[in-house]
Amino acid sequence: MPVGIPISGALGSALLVQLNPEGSMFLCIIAFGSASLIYLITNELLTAVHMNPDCDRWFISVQLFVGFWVTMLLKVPAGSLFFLYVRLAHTYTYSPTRTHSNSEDS
Amino acid sequence: MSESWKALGEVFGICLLPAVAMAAGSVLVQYYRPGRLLSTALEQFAAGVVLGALGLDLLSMLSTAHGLTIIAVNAGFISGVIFMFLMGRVVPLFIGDPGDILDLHELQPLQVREKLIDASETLDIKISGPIPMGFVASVMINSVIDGTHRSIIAFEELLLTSRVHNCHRLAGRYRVRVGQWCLGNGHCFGGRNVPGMHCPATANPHLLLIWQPLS
Repeated sequence: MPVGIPISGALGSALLVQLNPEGSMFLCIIAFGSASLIYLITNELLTAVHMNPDCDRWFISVQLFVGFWVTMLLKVPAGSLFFLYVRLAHTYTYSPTRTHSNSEDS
Repeated sequence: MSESWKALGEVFGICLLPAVAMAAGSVLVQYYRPGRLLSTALEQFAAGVVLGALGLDLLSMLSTAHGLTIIAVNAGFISGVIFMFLMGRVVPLFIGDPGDILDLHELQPLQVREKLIDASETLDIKISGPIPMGFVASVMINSVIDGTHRSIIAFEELLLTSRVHNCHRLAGRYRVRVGQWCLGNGHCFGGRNVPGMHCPATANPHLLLIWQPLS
């Protein structure tokens, strides 16, 4: 079964690369895949989770959001995260008074 | 090498990662079986990842739909829903549960139905349909190891120590996932899916002998 994943992925890529990304067929296939993933989430994963009597614990419930957050982080380009870090570091490191005193010294 | 072949190789390499991860997980689970809480947390995490991929990748692609392509989007979505429900409900009626099919292919039929029926009458358990041979063979192998004089006791211990991990409705029945089957002498067996009439957790969380024919 694991061998089927790269083969089917390559076949799907070879098929979809021929299509127009804004065309009807491409969007139809994407919508089909979306429906499949919604089914996977609702009828397989979350159903299996809620069959467990311990599923109401907070550290299990929060895993859904952690998973979404991880995907969100992967979607954000690394450069954006770097600039966000620089901006936060600048905000919390330099205060207006210190900046003023530095300018007087110079 | 042309650009298309290069792109195809790149996609193949990316898709190879989940395949390797799946194979590694299959090997790992032979040595370390995660507990109920960890497996539930991982399932919840996987649901979040898939939800993120759906919301951030796929639905953003669909937002470019306009004019007549909206019809194509709706048609694809509805056909996807119908296809998945058919896969989830119709296919198991014909081929049964994949785990049971694998067990049936690997193991030979054993004549222990009478013993199971006797045990079920003692424990007030209803049996219908054929005996799941994977379950029976596990018990028989253990019984051979321990000695024939201990077989009936082993059956009863197995029934009383079976752990039901989760149970959800599939194809009008409940697909029950049973985890480790441990006997009183410490021998344990791997988990598998069993189609059942109802969730054992609602009746008796420690017993699972209610099944239906696979075909």
